[in-house]
Amino acid sequence: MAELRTDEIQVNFGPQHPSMHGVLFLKVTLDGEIITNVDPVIGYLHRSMEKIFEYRTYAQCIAIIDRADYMSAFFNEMAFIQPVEKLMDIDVPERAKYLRVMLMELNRIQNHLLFYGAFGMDIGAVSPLLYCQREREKLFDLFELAAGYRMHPNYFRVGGVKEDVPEEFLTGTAKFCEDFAGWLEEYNSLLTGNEIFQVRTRGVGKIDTGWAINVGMTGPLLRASGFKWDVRRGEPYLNYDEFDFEIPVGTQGDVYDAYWIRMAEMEQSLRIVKQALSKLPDGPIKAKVPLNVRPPKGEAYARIESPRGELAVYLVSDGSDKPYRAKLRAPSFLHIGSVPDLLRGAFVADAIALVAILEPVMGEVDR
Amino acid sequence: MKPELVEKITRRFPDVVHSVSLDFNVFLAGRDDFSKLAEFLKGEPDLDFDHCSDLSGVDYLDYLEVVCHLYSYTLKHHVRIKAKVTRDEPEIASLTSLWSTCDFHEREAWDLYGIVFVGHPDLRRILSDDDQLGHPYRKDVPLENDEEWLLRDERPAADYGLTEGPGV
Repeated sequence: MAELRTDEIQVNFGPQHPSMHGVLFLKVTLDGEIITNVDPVIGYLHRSMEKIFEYRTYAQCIAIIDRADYMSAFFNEMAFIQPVEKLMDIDVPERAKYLRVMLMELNRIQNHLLFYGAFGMDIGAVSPLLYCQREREKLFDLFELAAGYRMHPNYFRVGGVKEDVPEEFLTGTAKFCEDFAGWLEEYNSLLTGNEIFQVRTRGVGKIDTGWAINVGMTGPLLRASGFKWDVRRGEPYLNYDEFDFEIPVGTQGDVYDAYWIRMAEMEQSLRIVKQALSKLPDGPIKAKVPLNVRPPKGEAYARIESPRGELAVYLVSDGSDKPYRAKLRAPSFLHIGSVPDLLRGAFVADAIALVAILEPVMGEVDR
Repeated sequence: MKPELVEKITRRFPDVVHSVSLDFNVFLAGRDDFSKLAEFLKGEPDLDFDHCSDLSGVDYLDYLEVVCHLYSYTLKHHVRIKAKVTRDEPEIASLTSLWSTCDFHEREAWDLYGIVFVGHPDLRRILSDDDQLGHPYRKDVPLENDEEWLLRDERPAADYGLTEGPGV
């Protein structure tokens, strides 16, 4: 029998593709069904955010940085504020710390819920997206009670938060915590145990710890490889060292582990929210800091654990009320950088699942 | 980072300037020392900086600066290394062979600040358009479209891939 000859073909995947997360464009080279090379093309959502920062005051920057990772805005704000507070040596009041932790962890649940829905959709299950939106709406309502906005809250301030939360926020959060355990069970029964889902995800892809560290993978993906690292524990910021929670770690480093870690993290986030709710102290919500801050001359680098990984801001201040340079270290940006290695040698049918676990948010990739 | 480690680095690289900025030890290296310093920081077992957290360019008008933040997962310490490059000849050795995460970081620094990383396998624009004029994050580039600045574009049309049309 004559040998079957195959030619390499190039397939444009994106930037407008229903299963693509935002405007990501992958130039995929295929040999039959095997991916031989990938060239990610990004920048479709580039808004020169870091350049704009240099022309805006710090308070204005907080409103802009909400739009970076638009799925987890509270984390962006925290990442930007942290180096400013470090430079100015501000002591944030306890109540503000608790409110920040509470809102960030609720945000993490919201973000992972969207991952759950979108990932299910990418694999071929449509209903998870409908279920997860139901609970995300409840979370957006809570954000609106606290900050006045649903998705771009602009709530954190240098030295604290904008204003105190209303009583309804606290009762609403308590109610949410009570109900969420049941919903989580529903999600798991809907997707996690599904046989087709298991076949599509188990053993697909292999995240090796050494490789993941080398390519700059952080967050749930690094933990999926079995490496126990979380900035909240490794380099505690705010008052995370006062909370009792665990860091879920994978064993195989495959797509299923990366998915499962997000589901387990929702549970842990819920634990943190419950603890914060019961321990929430009274007192001021903002240190005595003017709205228009002028950090002293110098530079600071601080990182936090965003739902996607290590989110950090490198801030250079020249003593004026505008940052001289603010560089956002976006986890998604570097995860896209790992795509060629991750996809090489995989089947084209698995490409969607492998990109989906990276959970790239293009607002953060392109900034 | 422990004081004896700081001493070890300054003893190995006498030209590197050490300073402390908040919680970070900062090492300002010369252009030739930068990649050697990075290699030393990654290779030595008692330093072991396995995680390149961030690499970025900064424009200080008189010169450009490459700033790199490293972290060690095993030893739990971090460091900031820097190098100055001139605006006329912004060349520095690439770190991609040490940490492959530097691939995207360096492409970004080239795209936005025009810093040339010698030895980078594929140095091309990443965030801005392929036909972007200059390096937009440099301080002398205006934030909004400035006609006078745009007119400085003197590249031939062939650079844009044009073979016909105005200006050819």
